[in-house]
Amino acid sequence: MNAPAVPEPVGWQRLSRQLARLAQAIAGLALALLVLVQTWQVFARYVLNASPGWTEPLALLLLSTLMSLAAASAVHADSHFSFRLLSESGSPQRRRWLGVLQSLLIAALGLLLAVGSIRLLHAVSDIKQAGIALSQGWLYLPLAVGGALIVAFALERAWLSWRKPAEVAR
Amino acid sequence: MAIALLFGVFLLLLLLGLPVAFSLLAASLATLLYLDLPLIVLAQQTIAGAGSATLIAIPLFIFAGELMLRGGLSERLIGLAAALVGHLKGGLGQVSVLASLFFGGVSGSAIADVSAVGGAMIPQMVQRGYDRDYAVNVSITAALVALLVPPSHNLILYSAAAGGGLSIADLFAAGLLPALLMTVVLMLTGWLVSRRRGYATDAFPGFTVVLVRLIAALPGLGLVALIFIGIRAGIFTAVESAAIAVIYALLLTALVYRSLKGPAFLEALLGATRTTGIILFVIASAAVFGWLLAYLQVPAAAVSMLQALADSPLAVLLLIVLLLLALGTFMDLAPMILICTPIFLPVARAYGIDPLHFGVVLILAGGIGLVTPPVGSVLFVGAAIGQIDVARTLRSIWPFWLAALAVLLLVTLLPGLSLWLPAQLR
Repeated sequence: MNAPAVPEPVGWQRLSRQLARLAQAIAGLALALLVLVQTWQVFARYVLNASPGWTEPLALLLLSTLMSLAAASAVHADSHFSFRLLSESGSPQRRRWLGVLQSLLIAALGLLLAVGSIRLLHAVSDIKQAGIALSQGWLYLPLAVGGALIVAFALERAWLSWRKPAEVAR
Repeated sequence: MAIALLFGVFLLLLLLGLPVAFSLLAASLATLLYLDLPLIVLAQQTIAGAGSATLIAIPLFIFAGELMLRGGLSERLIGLAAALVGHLKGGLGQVSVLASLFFGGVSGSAIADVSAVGGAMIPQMVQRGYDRDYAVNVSITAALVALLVPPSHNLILYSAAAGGGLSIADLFAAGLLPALLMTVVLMLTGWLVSRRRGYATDAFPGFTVVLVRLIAALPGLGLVALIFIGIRAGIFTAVESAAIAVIYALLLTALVYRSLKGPAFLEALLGATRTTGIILFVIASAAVFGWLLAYLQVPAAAVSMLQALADSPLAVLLLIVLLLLALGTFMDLAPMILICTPIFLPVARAYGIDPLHFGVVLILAGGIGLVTPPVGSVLFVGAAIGQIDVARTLRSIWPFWLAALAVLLLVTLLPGLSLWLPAQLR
C-alpha cells in the first residue's frame, strides 16, 4: 500500500518553504565557493609562489554565510541538535504548549541576533577589512539575514504547533 | 548565582527539548541580563565564534566525506575489508569494524561512517543470517573509531575550543593508536559474540583478491595518507589539506571511479551544507557561552572544586571521565566538546595532564555517548538502518559498549597511547 500523499503547502507556508530552500541553496553555493577560494589559495601559494591576502577574509565571510543561512533553514526543517525525550512525552496539550513556547523563544533569540548584527553592521561599516576591499560590516550581514529568517521560520512553527500540533511533530 | 543561572537555564531548556544552540544562546541571554551586560555581546560573540580560520577546515572535510560516501568509495573500502578479514569468525561483523577504520579515515565522522559502512553492511549481515541486533551493535560501536582517525572534525573542533593553540597534526597523530586499539578490541568482541551465537565463517578469498581490492581502494586510502602526511610534515595547513581533500575526492569519484554524477554531487553538497550549518551554529552559540564562562571565571572555580574532591591527576581525570560519560548520554558530541573543553582543559592543565591526551579522552568519552541512550545519535541512525527497535538493540549492546569503555579506560590510564606517536613524529 502506498503511503498517504503529503499535501502541498499553500499560501505563506509555501512561501516559507521556498525561502528555506533558497537559504539552503545560497548556503550550498557558499560552501562551493569556499572550496574554490581555498583551492585558489593552495594553487597560488604552491604554484604561483604568491599567497593572496584576500582568501582568508573572503573564506570567513563565506563560512559565516554558510552557517547563518543553513542554521535558519535547519529551524524550518526542525533539524537542530536537541534532546527530545521529555518534550515528546506528556499530554498532547502539554506538548502543544511546549512546542509553541520553544518556537517563540527561538524567534526571540533570532530577533536579538538579527538586531544585534544590524547594529554592529552599522557601527563598523566605515572600517575596511584587512586584505580585501570590503567593509567589516559585511561580516555581520549573513547573521542579520539568518536571524531574520530564524524569526520567520520559528513563528511559522509556533503557529503550526498551536493550530496543527500533529503536523509539526517529528 | 550567575554561574548557577547560566548552567541552570541551559540544562532546563535542553531538557525541555529546545535545540542545543538555542539553549546556549538563551542561557547566555539570561546571564547577560542578570549581570546587566550589553545584549549586543550575543550577536558579537556569535559572529566571533564562527570567525576562526581553523573552522574553515570543518565544512571542507565534511564535504569531502560526503563526496566519497556518494561516489562509490565506501563500497571499495568494504570490499578490501571483506577480503582481509571476512574469513574470520563472524566475518561480516569484522568487515564492518575494519571498514569503519578505513572509511573513518576518509570521513572523520561517526554518523557518516555508520551511514556508509552500516548502510551497506547491516542489510548484508541480516541477509546472511546474522541477528539484527548484532549487525546494528557491531556497526554503531565500530563507528566510534571514525572519531579518532584523521581527518576527524571533532579533533579540529577540540583544537578550536582549546583556543587554537593545539597543533592539529599532533592531535591527528594522538588519535591514531587509540583508534587502532578500538578496532582490535571491537573485532575481538565481535569474534567472541559470533562464536557464542554460532555465526558462519567464509573461506579466505586468496591473496590475488586481496591485492585486486587493495588496488581498487588505494586511491581512497591515499587521501588519508595525503592529509596526514601533508599536515604532519608541515607542507600544508589543516584548511589547505581540507581543500585538497575536496578536490581529490571530486576528481577520484567523478573521473577515476566515474560513479559521481550531477545529482549525487548536489546531494553531497546539500548534505554537507545541512550538517555543517548545524555544527557551525552550535560552535557560534557556544562562543557566547564560553565568553561568559571566562567572564565568570568558571574554569578557575572548576579547578578549585576538583582540587577539593581529588588530589592526583589520575583521580581528577577519572572524575572528569565520569562526568563526560554522564553528559554524553544527553548531549551530542560537538556541543559537548565546545562546552566541556574551556571548563575542563584548564583543570587538566593544572594537574599536568597533557592537552593531547585529554583531547583524545574527551572525544572518546563523548563518543561513547553517541551509542548510549537517550540521545545517542549514532545509535538511532544504526537502529533505523537495521530496522530494529532501539530497546532491542540495547539489550545486547553491552559486550560492545563495555569493550569501548575498556578502551576508554586504557587510553585514560595510559597517556603513552595518545602521546607516543606525536612525540615520535615531531
